[in-house]
Amino acid sequence: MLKIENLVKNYGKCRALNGLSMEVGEGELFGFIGPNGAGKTTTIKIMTGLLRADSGNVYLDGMDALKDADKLKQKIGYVPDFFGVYDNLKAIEYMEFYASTYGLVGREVTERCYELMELMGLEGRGEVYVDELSRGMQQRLCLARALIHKPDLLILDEPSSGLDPRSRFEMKTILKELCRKGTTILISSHILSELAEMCSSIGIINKGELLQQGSIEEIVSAVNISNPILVRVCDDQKKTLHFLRSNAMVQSLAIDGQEFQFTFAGSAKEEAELLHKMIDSGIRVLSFGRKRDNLETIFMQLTKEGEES
Amino acid sequence: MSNPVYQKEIKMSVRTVRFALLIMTFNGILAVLSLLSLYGAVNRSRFFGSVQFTNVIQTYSTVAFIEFAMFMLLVPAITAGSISGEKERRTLDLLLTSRMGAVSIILGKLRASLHMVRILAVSSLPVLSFVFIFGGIRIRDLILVLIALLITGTFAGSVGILFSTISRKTTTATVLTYGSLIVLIFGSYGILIFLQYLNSNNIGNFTNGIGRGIYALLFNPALTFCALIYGQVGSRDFITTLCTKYAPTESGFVIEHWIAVSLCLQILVSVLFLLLAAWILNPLHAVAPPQLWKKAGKAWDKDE
Ligand SMILES: Nc1ncnc2c1ncn2[C@@H]1O[C@H](COP(=O)(O)OP(=O)(O)O)[C@@H](O)[C@H]1O
Ligand SMILES: [Mg+2]
Repeated sequence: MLKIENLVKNYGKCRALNGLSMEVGEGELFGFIGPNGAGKTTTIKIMTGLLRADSGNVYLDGMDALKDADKLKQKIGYVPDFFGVYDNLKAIEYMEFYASTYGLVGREVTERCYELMELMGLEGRGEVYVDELSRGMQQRLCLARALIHKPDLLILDEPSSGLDPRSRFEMKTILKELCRKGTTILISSHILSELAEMCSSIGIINKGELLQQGSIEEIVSAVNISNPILVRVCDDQKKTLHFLRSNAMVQSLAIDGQEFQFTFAGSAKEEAELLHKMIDSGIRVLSFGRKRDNLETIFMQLTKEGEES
Repeated sequence: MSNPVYQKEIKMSVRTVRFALLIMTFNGILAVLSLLSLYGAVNRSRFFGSVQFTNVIQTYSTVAFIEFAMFMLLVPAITAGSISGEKERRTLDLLLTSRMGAVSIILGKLRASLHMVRILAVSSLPVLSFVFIFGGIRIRDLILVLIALLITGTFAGSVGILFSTISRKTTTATVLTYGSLIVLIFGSYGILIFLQYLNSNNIGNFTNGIGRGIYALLFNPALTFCALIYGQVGSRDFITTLCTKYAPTESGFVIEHWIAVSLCLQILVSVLFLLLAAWILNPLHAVAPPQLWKKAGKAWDKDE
């Protein structure tokens, strides 16, 4: 659906995007996660045609999005991180105005506007002036606005900043529902926990580069695979130590009581083999496994590495 | 199809109290001044026994000049906020991601501000038509004045929109627009007066006046408007007088058709400014609005 290749963007001397590449599949609810200043907004602005990339490509449904801006605009719905409203327009007029900027006018369009507002839980608010709506309602109105031209891809930049928990929850419900109905959604945030449960896959960005991408399980296991192996045994420390030392693939071995911790340079199969041999040689193994980090820790580690370099 | 931005602007502006106040103030000032002027004319008639034609004519030109001045004050105020207002309100990005092109956005803004000005002009017609009470001015003259006002309004409007596109803040755009119009109107005339001063004091040799420099005045909308009004009331040929005074060697087509040429030039410059504004507005074209502007803009806005 969406494919980004080697995107580079400099603001003067400051490099905001440093060869970012990522892919979002059809029908996904994609979480685009990174700390403040990572380059999320910059990437999104390039995708929506608000900013020129210095180099790199963006493909939408196989179409070169940067060359064909007009088609791109028809396919993308965008909710920016900060958005304003016109103070003396009513909610329905606000919707109709944006419909007309996509060349949509007429009775059916007005009906569609009302439908969308209803979908966003704004029924009966059509005649209210936009600036009299609460922040959460404005956000949902802006979301309704972004859907007016039936986009294939919906992009939301930090939609929950400035919302209270209840509005956030409502927003999540709406987004899940939209995704279920077939809209591909890309949503950016600097708070991982907020997206983790709702997204089908995520991309972690820092310093203008994509560090990890995939489903949450994939990312967790991809990171955990390089974590050290932890082995707990029953009383046989010396024997175990001797056994592990004799294996060339076992490195940086550390002992803490009955717990052995080491990194293993072999494949998964060799890892299983190791356990098998341990048991065969009479070591009573209590547990054998990798230290598992949760997503939050992984996110912190990944983005911290970026900071240090 | 009608322009969405234009429609929205009209809807929004007509709703405000400000707009009603604007029409009221504008016509109020116009009415008071023209009544005063008319009163003067009628009052003097007590001494002469009949209304002097020249006095009525004077009322007409006074009202026309006031209207011109109002246009020059109002159009920048309206247009300077057109694009920068959307930036301040954070709604510009939404417009730019829609399917409206930069050109349509700019044109919608221009049309909306001209519409405001047109409402003002039309609403002032009753006041202007005072002058018909005593005759002497033809409808044709009035229409010409309105056309000239509209063209000059467009010209000032395009300056306002261009600065509004460059600036991040409406205040900046307003200052820049008024500033450049003041330089254009008074600055160019000031140079003439300065040269005349040098000449009359025999400093330097200015027997040819400013020569071809006189054509720069074609871009001075106030001068052209004066020429139009003075031509209509038949007091003197304003441009010929100007020419003999400051550029005695110049003559020919442009001098003879000064008003038409000037108005055409104003249209041309307006189109250029609007295209430039649209080009700058389009984020994918604005490779680098000349570095100078960027720096000037930053120094002005100071919120980086
Ligand atoms: N208009 C700009 N001018 C200069 N630098 C900018 C501009 N916008 C963003 N940056 C820089 O680019 C980097 C990425 O910013 P951004 O994309 O806004 O990050 P995020 O949305 O992930 O918080 C930041 O280091 C920021 O300072
Ligand atoms: Mg951001």
